[in-house]
Amino acid sequence: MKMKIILTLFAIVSFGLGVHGEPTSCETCHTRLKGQLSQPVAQWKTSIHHQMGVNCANCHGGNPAVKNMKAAHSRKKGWIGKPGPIQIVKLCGTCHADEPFMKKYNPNARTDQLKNYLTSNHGINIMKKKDGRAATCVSCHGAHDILKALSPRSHVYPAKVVDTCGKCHGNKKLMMEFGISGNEVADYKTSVHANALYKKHDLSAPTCNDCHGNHGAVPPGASSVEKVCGTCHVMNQKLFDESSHKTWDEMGFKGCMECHGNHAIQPPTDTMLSTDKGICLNCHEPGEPAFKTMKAMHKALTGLKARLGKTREMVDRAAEKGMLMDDAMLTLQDAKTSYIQSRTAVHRFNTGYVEHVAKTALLDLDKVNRMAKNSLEEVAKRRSLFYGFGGLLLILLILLGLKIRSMEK
Amino acid sequence: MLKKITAWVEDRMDLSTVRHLMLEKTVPKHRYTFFHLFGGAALFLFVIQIVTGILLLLYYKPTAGEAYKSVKFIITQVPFGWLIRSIHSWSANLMILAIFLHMFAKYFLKAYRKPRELTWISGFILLVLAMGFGFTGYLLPWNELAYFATRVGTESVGATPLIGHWLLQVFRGGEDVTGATLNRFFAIHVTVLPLVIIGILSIHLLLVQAQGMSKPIDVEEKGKIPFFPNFMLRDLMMWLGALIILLGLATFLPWELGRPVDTFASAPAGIKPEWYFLSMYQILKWMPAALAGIPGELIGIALINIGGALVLLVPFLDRKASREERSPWFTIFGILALVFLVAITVYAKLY
Repeated sequence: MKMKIILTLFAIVSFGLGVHGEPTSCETCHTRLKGQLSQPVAQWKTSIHHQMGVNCANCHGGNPAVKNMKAAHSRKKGWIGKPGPIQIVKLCGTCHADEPFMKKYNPNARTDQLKNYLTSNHGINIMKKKDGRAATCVSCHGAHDILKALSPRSHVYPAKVVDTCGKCHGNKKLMMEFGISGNEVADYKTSVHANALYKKHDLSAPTCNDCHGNHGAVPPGASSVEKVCGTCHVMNQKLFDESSHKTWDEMGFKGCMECHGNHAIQPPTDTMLSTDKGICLNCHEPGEPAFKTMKAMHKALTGLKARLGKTREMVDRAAEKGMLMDDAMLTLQDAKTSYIQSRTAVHRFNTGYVEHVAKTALLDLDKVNRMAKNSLEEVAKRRSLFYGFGGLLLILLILLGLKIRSMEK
Repeated sequence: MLKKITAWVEDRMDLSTVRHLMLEKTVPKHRYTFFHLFGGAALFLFVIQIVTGILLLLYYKPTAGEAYKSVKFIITQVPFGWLIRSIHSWSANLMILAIFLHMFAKYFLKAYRKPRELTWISGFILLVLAMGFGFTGYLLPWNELAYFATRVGTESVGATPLIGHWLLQVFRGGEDVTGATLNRFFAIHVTVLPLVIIGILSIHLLLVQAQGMSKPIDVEEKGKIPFFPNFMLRDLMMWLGALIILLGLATFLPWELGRPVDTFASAPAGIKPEWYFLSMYQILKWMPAALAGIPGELIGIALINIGGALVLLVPFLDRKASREERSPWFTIFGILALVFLVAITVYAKLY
């Protein structure tokens, strides 16, 4: 408590010293220094703190108004040098957990980071177990080059989060000490989520913090896995909760993870329901009602997929032959959406429900099929007309040629 | 019966010119006679343009909100609408091709020489007008490609010194390509250009009839053939050939409608104008941003205009041909110009 009061007073006083006018002595001297000691100033100048007027002394203490090194680094003036892990957390929290203070900069600013952090494994390790190997604020956000999370140069920008976490969590040796495999980052990079993030540049694709939280970083417990996935996969979670598998949590199964895995999640395929490689076979024996459900759902989905492919091929063929297939394409898109919904419907593990959803797609496909068939018939009719009429014109052309020849002989 | 009708008409007007054309007009026969047929083919395709254009007018709606839908309606709902629209688009392209072939044929046969200078000049104006038809007609379906190509095409007009911005606004009917541009292009396409082209075409045809067909310098004449029916039948053969090609193209490669305009979307990659503008497009593309302080676009436009002016003035530049002497340098220049045009067009299309 005493320490907190001191740090708060120190932060308030040091803000008063300001950075808006002349450069502080910290900037002036450290810019001239070579190597490591000059880096903090260079990095700080690109940071959000520099933009907002937070200077070196606000975190490190000391007297930035004097040019003398000893006076500037005076312990009496609160100079603490390089803060330790616990100090870092407290220092950051001094401002970032102070709601009225933060709202002055951004009315929508979060101030629950410290509170969440203290509940996380990172926070517990640092603050309670005094284990400095765990992550503090600077481990993720950087010490001096701190930027807004949505700045593409920020260490916590969605596309960079995985590598930021990977600095520690990709270190197998270090992770082994905490009973973590250390394969998580490498696994994630093979996943459908990583594909969306890195290849499709979809910043809404989940990275580490979307499932594990960011400041309150704790691994999701068995009871929450499906809730975590359900934040994005809403329909899948709803259907799962309506299914016979809703009691999985009580049985100790880990929800979505049981079938899809966790970090190395691959795009789902219909094979996951096949009678030879189906994922259901992990728990269910052939002959059980669940096996029959799996088989029926697989048949419905693969049948729908095949029809979708065949119909698309017909539409493409008609379009290649110059027919306007815009309406057919739109309906085909609807059918594709229904097919995706049918695949989602399997999470209810009910054949009737899957077939019911698939029926919408089948009706759309019937419609598109008729449109494509009519168009292809129209193409054939047009070509027949051309062969007939064009042939007549060609005969006339030849006759004219012969006539000219005979006239001029 | 026919005689009676002829006599009735002849009582009221002099038909000697028509009779001369039908019975006495002859055409020199030589190994290049075939090259005289491209002009007739262009005329035939122009007539097709008028007929199909009138049919399209029955359904086409020239507003930004309706243009695309009306063309879609024509090609999907109107009986044979797909054929009429495709023929209109393909014959526009074939007509410009026929005019180019006609122009190069006449150039290499030196048919521009005295006394046919005016025929050449009117022919050149007809080529420019036909390209104007193509440019204004391209926008009318109001599809994505046409919209962005017109934006690029009209932008070059803005580079004209002093009056560039004013000219751009006149062309577009505002700062950007909008529904106002579509109205403007439609009006020009269906009223202004047809009136002007029919006037110039009449002069061109009148000159051809009055002066007859030229005989190339130093080419052995194998006698003469009557214009009617011998040459007319050859023309008819050419027209039939053009009609078969046109029908084949419309059937096997129907002209695409593309996607409707989305003015908020970014321009799709690889936007290029029609093939007959590709050479000019490529020249403008090759120009640096500025050369000796003069904007590159302006230099490009100046070069294109100088090239056009040289072609227009060929009859007056080729003094030797006007003295009925061979002018090999002009033939070489023509070959180089043809190779350059084809090469730059193919290059622009591919890259």
